[in-house]
Parts: sequence; structure tokens; C-alpha cells
Amino acid sequence: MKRVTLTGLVGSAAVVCMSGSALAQDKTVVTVWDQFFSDAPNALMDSFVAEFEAAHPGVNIERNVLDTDAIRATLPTALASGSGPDLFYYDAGPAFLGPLVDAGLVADLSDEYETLGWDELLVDWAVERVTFNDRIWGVPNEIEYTNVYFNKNLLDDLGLGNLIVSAAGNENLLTLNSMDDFATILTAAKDSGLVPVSFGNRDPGRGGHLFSYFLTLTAGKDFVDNILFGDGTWDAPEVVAAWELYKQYNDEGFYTPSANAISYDEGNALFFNNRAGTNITGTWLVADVMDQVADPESIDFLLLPSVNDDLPLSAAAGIGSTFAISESSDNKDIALEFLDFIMSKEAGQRWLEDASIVPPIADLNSQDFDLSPMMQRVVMGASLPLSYNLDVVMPSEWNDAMKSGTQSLLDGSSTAQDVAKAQQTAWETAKSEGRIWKAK
Amino acid sequence: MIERKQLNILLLHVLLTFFALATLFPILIIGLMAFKTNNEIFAAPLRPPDVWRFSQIADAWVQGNFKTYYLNSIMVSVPTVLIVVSCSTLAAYGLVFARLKGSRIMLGLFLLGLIMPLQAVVIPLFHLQVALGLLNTHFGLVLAQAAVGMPFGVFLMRSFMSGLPREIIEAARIDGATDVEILRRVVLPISTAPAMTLATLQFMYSWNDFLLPLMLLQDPEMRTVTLGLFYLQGGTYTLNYTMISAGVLITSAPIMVVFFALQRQFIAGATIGAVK
Amino acid sequence: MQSKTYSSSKAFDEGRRKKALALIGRYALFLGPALLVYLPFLLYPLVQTFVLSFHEWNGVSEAKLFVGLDNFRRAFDDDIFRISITNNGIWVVASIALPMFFGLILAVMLSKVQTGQRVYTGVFFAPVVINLIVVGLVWGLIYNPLVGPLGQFFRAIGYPQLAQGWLGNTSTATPAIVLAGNWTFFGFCTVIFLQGLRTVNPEQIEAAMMDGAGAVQRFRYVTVPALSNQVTLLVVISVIGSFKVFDIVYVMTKGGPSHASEVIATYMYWQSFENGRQGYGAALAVLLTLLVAGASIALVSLRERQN
Repeated sequence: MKRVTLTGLVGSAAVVCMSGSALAQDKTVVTVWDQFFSDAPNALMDSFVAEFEAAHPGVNIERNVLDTDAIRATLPTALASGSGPDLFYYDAGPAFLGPLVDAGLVADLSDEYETLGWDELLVDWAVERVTFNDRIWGVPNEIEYTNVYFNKNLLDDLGLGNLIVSAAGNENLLTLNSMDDFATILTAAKDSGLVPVSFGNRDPGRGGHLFSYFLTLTAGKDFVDNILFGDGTWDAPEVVAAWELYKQYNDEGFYTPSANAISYDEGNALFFNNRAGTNITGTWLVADVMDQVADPESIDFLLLPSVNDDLPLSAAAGIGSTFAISESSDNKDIALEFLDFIMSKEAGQRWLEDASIVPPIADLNSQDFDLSPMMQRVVMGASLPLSYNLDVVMPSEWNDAMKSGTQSLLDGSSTAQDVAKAQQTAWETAKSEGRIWKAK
Repeated sequence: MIERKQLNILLLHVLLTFFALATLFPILIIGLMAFKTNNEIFAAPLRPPDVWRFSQIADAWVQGNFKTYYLNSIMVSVPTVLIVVSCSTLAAYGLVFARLKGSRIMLGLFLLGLIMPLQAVVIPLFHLQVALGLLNTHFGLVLAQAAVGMPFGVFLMRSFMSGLPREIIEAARIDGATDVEILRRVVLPISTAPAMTLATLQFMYSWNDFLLPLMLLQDPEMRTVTLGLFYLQGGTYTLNYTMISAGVLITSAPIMVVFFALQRQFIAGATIGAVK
Repeated sequence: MQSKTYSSSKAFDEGRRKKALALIGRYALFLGPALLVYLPFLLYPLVQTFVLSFHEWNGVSEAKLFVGLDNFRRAFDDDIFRISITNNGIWVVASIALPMFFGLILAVMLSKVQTGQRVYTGVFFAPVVINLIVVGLVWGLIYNPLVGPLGQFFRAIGYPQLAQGWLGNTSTATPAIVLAGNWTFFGFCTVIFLQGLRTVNPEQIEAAMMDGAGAVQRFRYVTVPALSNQVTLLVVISVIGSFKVFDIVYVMTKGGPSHASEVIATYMYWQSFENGRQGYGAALAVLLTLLVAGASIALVSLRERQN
């Protein structure tokens, strides 16, 4: 009697838990795991899916929207065990897509790039980010780069609005004549009781963006290329100089006090609420600026000038993530067709207009699109000779050395030399273990 | 003399009330935040809100998807409690009364589960659930939580049964009763109190569990209340003190109500296992 | 006679077989259900962790590379592992000292009041029940340099330099989390001590009073020795809990800044799931298990020797 009851209990528990899973399907089901959890991109993906399904009556696309932490925790094991999705949207780079490629879990798309014309359609440097060992493994999306938002009204109040100038050769982009001008602005902001740079570094990846940006300004892309693909090292003086700049801003009191205890959102909120003069972050924030600032007209962004006159106007850039297809998928053709659909020039316009996402599609006539002036500027900047936003192209231990550095430099528990050295050590380890990005 | 004693008592009450308020202070201050706007919190964190915005709790309930999370938590914790209580009652009877050879070894086996840190098994557990197709299912989480709760359940029920007079059992056996009958007619009726204690405690554990849901449930629609609350705090690029504090209220208020209603059970549960 | 012996021995065999079958049946009936859940979902993974700790594995590659004791050797050279162990040590010491001290004081006070004892106990015990994610979020807001009441307080009393981000500083992050953790434990100590105080023999206290012992001496020589069992118990619980601590650290700082508040459990989690070194993570898990097991056995045998 007792035994029967027990079995019944366990059994019914099982039924309760599993109900609603497996239902019979006649259609071909293509599973997609993506990270478009913000409202606008999420809605756009939904309409892409609906349209594609309407055009392909036999196909059913099932999206599973995960946030970044969740997909990083699940996707590798799911793919390795054969229970993964057909198509996924995942971070590129040696810490994320790299191991999946090495384990043979990702479909090689090099031939499809030619047959589908993606090699012509997509921006080269973005494609390079999903290239490992001379083969192409994904379709990148979301071109992003670092920038500096500023509050025009606050700057005018300080009488420094005139320091902002048009970039030489690209009058649609704003910049400064020198980094000294930037320091002048920050000092004035500080003296007037504002937070000069709203900076939340509780998630230290944010400080990593600053470092990538500063390294772009002090050393440039070629220097980084020489480390990534040549024999350059991370403990070089240029790297130390970038860290010194990062630390100097801290010592001068330019950052939010206790930045390590402040989240990225809180840092942004300081800026959105007119309590900070500038915000050094990236173009991914444009949509939120338009949404959350009471007077979006008062906000604009500029690109910092290089420290060295030989270096071009640039910024640290990366792709948000990349679409990739599971090697063991039975539905590669449909997945490819879907990718082709959402990466067309028509779709590109919608990525921009509806989701404020810059797709890596070359020669979009974006000036004809219905975009905010700031979004127009973002598109303009995307064609500059951009450098690397390092976290997405570097192995995890190197990233850890960088992130730890951004935090320990703020409370003085390490020096610029320490951090650069730790980066080099991590780099050598990763290199010796083959855990680095080798595009060629 | 009596007056002095009364004065002492009064002083004790003053001190105890002070400590009680200090204990509740963190919760109260966050409770306050739930009714303020983000701007109010930003401008003056400690001041009461100009207007009490009860609608914010409702908004957080909807935006935070708490209805789904509550249902999920129930779908997980109820079966877990049933499995742990029933299985560990059976096992405890087996270890104490069923004349099983090697029962000391079995006990040691369960003891291992009691001292082992959960973090030591999460990686293989994760891969196991993937292999069995249990990842992202509530059933998988139920099995994992039940496995984690089992050693404690067995110990609690065993220590209770060890305290029962053996004569009753032997008498029933001499009367020709089988083990199943003894369990059902003799042991179960007097085991309801420890079983309830175990159920309360297991429910609390399952409801509050963080690591296993974090590992095993990636689909946002599957999240439990605790996990849902954790994910409230980031990832959207928006500042959400109000949401977080409303979420804190939403998740803790029910458990506080249950706690104060069943206080004796909770406290007995949390301490009895430890004392034995 | 002989045939009788033969038949009885046959009956004996038959009986033994029946008995053995019955034993297996009882095993299956009583221990079966518990083991069916416990063995595959807890013990088997533990064995696998042990095996994995001798390998290097990134979690996706097909091959796991056998590396012998390398992972363990690596741990002893690992600065962050050293920080983690030290922090676990801080947790142990602080969780024994602070909550037990306050718990004892509150229990003594509670034992002297009749009215409201239940309400006070409930309030002190409430933080024990609250889930650690809530605790982490609540205390995270308390410590928040922008909006937290602690910063407000320091600014109000004229020490604005103390209104800093306690969780964002490498030297204060761990103490700040430990304090929040202790908040969830002192009520438990209070209840345990209160139960212990009920067993203190009033006659002993009266005898001590007759001998002219003051309140402090009575407390020192009568009450405290009577509570030795409770003290041992709470020490055991604090030590085990302090080694296993994970949730609250993960929610408040994820082990940061710069790994300064890392404990073994969070560091193991980080190595396994964010740094892609699941073999090393498994080795850390094994070390953690050994530490907890060792500490538990030592403390329990100490307790038994006491009794």
C-alpha cells in the first residue's frame, strides 16, 4: 500500500514536471538559441521568424532567447552532447566560439560565403573575427565600438562646448583636437561638482572597454596586431602607457568614486540624470540613451583623438556576437537560408531602423534610412579604421588579468607594470596551450 | 526589590526591541525603496516616498515574470518535498528496524552526502542531466534537489526512529506483522511530527536553492523565484533599484508569512537536525 | 535419522535462500527509493568529480587529457586559490566569533523575559529563513556607495570618506560580505543557546548564589560550562558552513574585485564555467570536500571525546 502510494507520488511528480515538452510535429523544426533579449531586437527577430515561416510553410523556427550568462553556461555542453540547437548566436573569440570550433561542433561556412555571396556582402574585419585557421565559422552581427557620450548642455554651461570639433575628413563625426582638451573638460566638470566620467566597474569588463580604447589611442591597431599575430608582447611600454592613462584618470578623480562598487547601469544612470559630464562606453548604448534621457537632444557622442599624431581617428571595435550553425544539425540548409534572409540588405535596414543594431553589411545606404542623428553617426564611424575591443578576441585567462587589473588599479593594490606583466603571463600560457585566436 | 526586578525586565525589553529593530532594519529600508521611484532613491535614499506607489509592486510582479516563477517554484519544491519525505522515511525505517545487513555502511554512504559541498558535484551533475535529457526540465531539478536533500532527510528520520522504544516494534513483529505493516500501522502514525519538520525544512531549502537552478535551468521561462530574482539585477542596461527592492519584497513576503505562522516548526526543523 | 538430517539441511538451505531473498527485498523496498535518487544524482557525480580532477578538460572537447596530479600541484602555486582559502579562514573565524557572541547575549536576555519571547525569537531567526539571494541583494544595496543607507549615515555624521563602496575595495569586500553572512546566522545561535539555557539547573544557580557568587561569576562558572555542548555544535556548523559558502559571495561580488573576495566554492565555479578549466575546477572541488570532511571529522571526534 505504502509502496504503491510512493510510486504514485514519484510518478505524478514526473508527469507534472514533464508535461508540455515533446509534442508531435509534422513540420521541420529548426531550433535557434539567441541573445536578443532586449525588447526591440527581440521583436525584430520574432518578425524575421514569422516572415520566414510564412515563406516556408514546412518550416517551424523555435527561438530560445537566453541571456549571455545562460548561453555561455549551456551551449557548449548542449552542443557536445548533441542536444544543442541548429543555429545559435554566440560570442565569437577564442574563449567562446574557439573551443567549439576545435571540438568540431561548428559547421564550416567558408564555401557558403562564396556561393551565397556573403564574402562580397559582409564587412571584411567583422568576418575576420569569426575566422579561425583560415576557415569561416559564422555570420557576425552587431558592429560596435567604443565612444564618449557627452552632455551638450553641461558642456556649454562650463563654456567648453567649442572644444568639440568635426573630425578631419569626416565632418559628421565629432572629436577633440587633443587628449589635453579632454582633460580640460574633465577637470572643469570635476570643479563644478559633476562626476567627470560616469564609470561603473563592478562588472570589470567595463573597465576592459576603457583599456581597449586607451590602448587604441596610445598604440593603435597595428601594435595590437603585432601581438596577436606576430611577436609583440603585452608588457611593452605602449601597454603600460595605456594602463597609466587609465590609472591617471582615477588618480585625478575623473571617475565615479568607488567605481568598483558601482554597476554599469548605475554608472549610466548618473550620466542619464545629468550628474555626470561624460560617459566612456560604446555605441551599443545609443538606443538606451534615446530611451532613457529626458532630453535626448542634449546628448551626443564623440571619438577621442589619438595620443600620437601618426595614428588615425579610431576606436576599439568588435562584433556583438556571431550566428553559427551546429555541425551535427540536420537542417543546415534551412538555417543557411534563414541567415541569408536576415543578412540581406533589406534586412540590414531593419536591423538599423527597428533594433538600432549595426549589421556588418557593406554599402548600406544608411543616409536614406529613418535613423536618429546619433544613430547616423554610429554608422559613419563604423567605416573608420577601427581597432580591437580586446575582451572578445582574447582568451579567458588574459581577460581575467585585464579585468582584475581594471579593479586593482582603482584601489591602488597593483601598478600598471604589474597588470601588463600579468597580461603577458596569461598570454604566454594561452599561446602555449593553443587557446588563442588564429585567424590565419 | 520587586520594582527593581520590573525595571530590569523593562530594560531588557528596551534592549531586545532595539536589537530586533536593528535586525529588521536592512529589510525595512529595502522595503521602503520598493515604493519609491528610482529618482527618489537616487536623490534621497532614506527618505520615505512622497507618494506610496503600491502599483510598483504589481508592475514588478508582471515585469519580473513572477507569476511564472512562483508556479515554477511550486512545481519544483512540492515534488521534491514529497520525494524526500517519503523516501527518507522508508530508508530510515530500513536502517533502524528492518534488520538490514550492512546498514552502518549505508549510513556512512548517506553521511558522505551530508558533509560534501554541493559545489563538488555540480559539473558532473550538469553533464549527467544533459546526457539524460533532463537539463532545463523541472523534473531534472527535482531529482537533483531530492538527491541533495536525501542525506539530511535520512538522518533526521533515522535519529527520530532510533529514539522509538524497540519493544513496540518487536511486539508487533511477534504478532506476525510484516515490516510493511509495522511501518504503516505503528511507525508512520507517530512519525508525522518529524516528517512535518523535515517537509518544512526541505521546502525552505528547495524554495531558496540557488546553485542548482542556476546550473540546471537556462530557459528563462523555467526559472524559479530565487533565480528570477537573481536575474532581475542585471542584463537590461536599465537602472532598477525599484524593481530589485520590489522583487525582494515579492520573494520574501510569502516566506516570512509562512515562517511566522509556522515559527515553531521552522525553528525546530532548523535546529533539531543540528542537535541530533 | 540420517534422512531426517538431510531433509532438514535441505529445508535449512531453502530457508537461507528465502531469507536472503527477503533481505534483498527489504533492501529494495526500504533503501531502494532513496538510493535510486541519491546514488545517480549525488554519489555518482562525486565519483566523477574525483576522476575528472586528474584530467584537463575544457567541457566540450571529446578527449579528456590525463594529467595525474598536475591540477593539485597547480592549486598550491595558485595565488587566487591561496586568497580563497584565506577568505574561507576569515569566514570561519568571524562566523564563530561574532554570531556566537551576539547569540549568547541575546539568548541570556531572552531567557529572562516571558512576554514576547516568541516574537523576539521569531525576529532574530527571520534572517536565517530568508534566502541568500535576497540577503545578498539587500546588503548590496546597504553598502551601495550611491544610494546605500550606510554611506548616508557616514555622510550625516561627518565622515564622508567612509561613505565608500565597501564591496568594491579589495581590502574591505570580504569583511563586508562576512558581516552580511553573519547577520543570517546569529539568530540560529540565539535559538540554540536559548534551548541550552533551559537545561541549566536552577538549583545550581541558587547554590552558586548562596555561595555568594555574583551575576558575572554565575554566568562564567555555571551557565557557560552548561552550554559547552551548544558551543561545540555551533562551532561545527560554522566551520562547515564557512567552507561551503557560495551563494552570498556569488550574488554580492562574484568573488571580486580582482578576486579579492573569492572563496574556494566561487573560485571553483569560476574556473569550471567561466575559465573553461573543468579539470582544475574538479580538483578544487575535491580539495574543498577533503577540507570539509577533515574539519567535520576532527570536530565531531573532539565533541565525542568531550562527552
